[in-house]
Amino acid sequence: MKKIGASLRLEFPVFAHNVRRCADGVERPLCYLDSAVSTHKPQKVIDKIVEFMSRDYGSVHRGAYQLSVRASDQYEAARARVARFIGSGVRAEQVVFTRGTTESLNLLAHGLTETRLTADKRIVIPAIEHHANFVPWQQAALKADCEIAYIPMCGTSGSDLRLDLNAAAKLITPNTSIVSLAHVGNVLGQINPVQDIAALAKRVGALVILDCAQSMTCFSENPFDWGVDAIAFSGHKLYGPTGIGVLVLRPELLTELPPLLTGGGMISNVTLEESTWTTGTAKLEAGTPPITEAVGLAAALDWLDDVGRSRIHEHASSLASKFAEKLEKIPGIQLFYPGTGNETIVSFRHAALHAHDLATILDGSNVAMRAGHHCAWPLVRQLGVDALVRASFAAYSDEDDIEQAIEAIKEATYLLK
Amino acid sequence: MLQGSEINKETPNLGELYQEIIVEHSKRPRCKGRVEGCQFCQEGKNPLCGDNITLYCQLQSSPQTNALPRIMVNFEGSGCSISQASTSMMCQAVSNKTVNEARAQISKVEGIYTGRAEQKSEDDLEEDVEALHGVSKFPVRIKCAALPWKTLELLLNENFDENGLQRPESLSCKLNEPCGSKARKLKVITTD
Repeated sequence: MKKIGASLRLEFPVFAHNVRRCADGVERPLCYLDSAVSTHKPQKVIDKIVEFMSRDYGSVHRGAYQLSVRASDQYEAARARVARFIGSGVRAEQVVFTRGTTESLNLLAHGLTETRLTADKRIVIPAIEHHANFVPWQQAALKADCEIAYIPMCGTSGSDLRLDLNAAAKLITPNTSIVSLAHVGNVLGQINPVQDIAALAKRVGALVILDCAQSMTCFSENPFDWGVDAIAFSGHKLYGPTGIGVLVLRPELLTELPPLLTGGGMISNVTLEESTWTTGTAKLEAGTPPITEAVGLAAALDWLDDVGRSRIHEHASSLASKFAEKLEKIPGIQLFYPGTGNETIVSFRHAALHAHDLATILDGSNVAMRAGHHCAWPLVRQLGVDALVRASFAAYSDEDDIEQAIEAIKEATYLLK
Repeated sequence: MLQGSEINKETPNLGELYQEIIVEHSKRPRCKGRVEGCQFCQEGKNPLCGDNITLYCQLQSSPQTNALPRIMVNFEGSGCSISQASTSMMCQAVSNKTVNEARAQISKVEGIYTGRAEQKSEDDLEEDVEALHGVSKFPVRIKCAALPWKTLELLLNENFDENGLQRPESLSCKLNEPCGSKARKLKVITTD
């Protein structure tokens, strides 16, 4: 079985390049606790990208020559690899490559505004979503002049940091066309009750869209088995490259969706008067697609499945629990952590130390954590704070990261006292 | 592939960023609180991190007629210690200055927090704002220090001409004006 934790770090060159002599003269390894924003890349993924660009690169579906054929084969193999990664029953023809989760969700919001939203309809989303799954729907509701309803949390601390299912049941009314939510929250790390919400949506015939940006590294259940109609995620949070995202659609929805971008590669015919679209995934992939990135993503998925998603989840959530336990003992620290033991993210703040100051001081000890509103401004406002620090754990995280981070946080609280 | 560990970039000293004067201003901000009947106001934000200030500016009445107007600036806001300390120090530094003296101060301090101006040791500072020099070693934090100065620059440019005289069109406080109405209002449904 593949290693996990500190011994796995040897596969990630970034750690060897970022040992740092800190101001106190002590050399410290990189303590990277920001994998929820983006993960680092294993050598295997880097090598695959270099190999593809060195040997097989060509534009896809356009050339009669060998290079183009080889590149097209690898690009389409990546599509099939993504389908297999999601689960049995998902076909490559359902997998659209985009630039990232944000583009995938925008593509949906834009298309469904055209095909489904009228003034009498309703969109339902949690009030605590990442802006990527918040702003596109808010803007769609404005465009269509339809209703938007926000599912609240049960409360603002501890185990109440979860979606209020009773409220969801009231808000998902018969005029609801779209219910869109994250599988896993990017700030609180809560695992949303997707199956329950999908069942509520299905009862009224609404589409269910799932933002899997945070969940694909840890969960291998196939969301389409729960009645979900579309899922979106990004390569760069899956130990793969940036610039590649995925949108997977039920076949009927793929037929329904109009393109967000028009141009080369997505047309059936173009005359001076009009243009018609091609069918299938190509319709939604205008222009030269992220070819190298797709090949890199496929390599990342191979790597990820080698380690095992449920193993990563078990490892990262256990580290998060241990970290939260130690963190809570530091005076002045307030946790925003549901504490079910399944979260891989711990968000917190210090009573007297602003999140940005804390993050800057932590960087002084080579500890990388995200501070701010985490692209979830409505959530942070609901919590009654202006910014949070977030620690997120991944396959290469380990107990030494916890020690280094806790020590740095304790020192920070002395420094600015 | 790279083997073993490399030591790269040394960490800048946090003490330079969080100098005593800065920490003190962030804990006990000067000129904080909205001034009723202020004449000019301007909101400033760093949207990516959430730092947020509103500057309230009034003109001092002068005993001499024909004298250039002098400003007083107060603020409200929330954010990291650098943004809030920088705002506090700015309000103090530009108080009772003419508009063009304040503009000169803005460019001078920009040289300090971006590191273009010569650095002085903490003991030789002539004014508190010089403590912002340490920020220049932390590129991601420069925008925190810059926030109030950029906001004041905008407020002055919108309301005063190049001679430091009030523009005829800028008379009333924007906060008292109705918000710009959107063509269409979002229909938000809640459980309440």
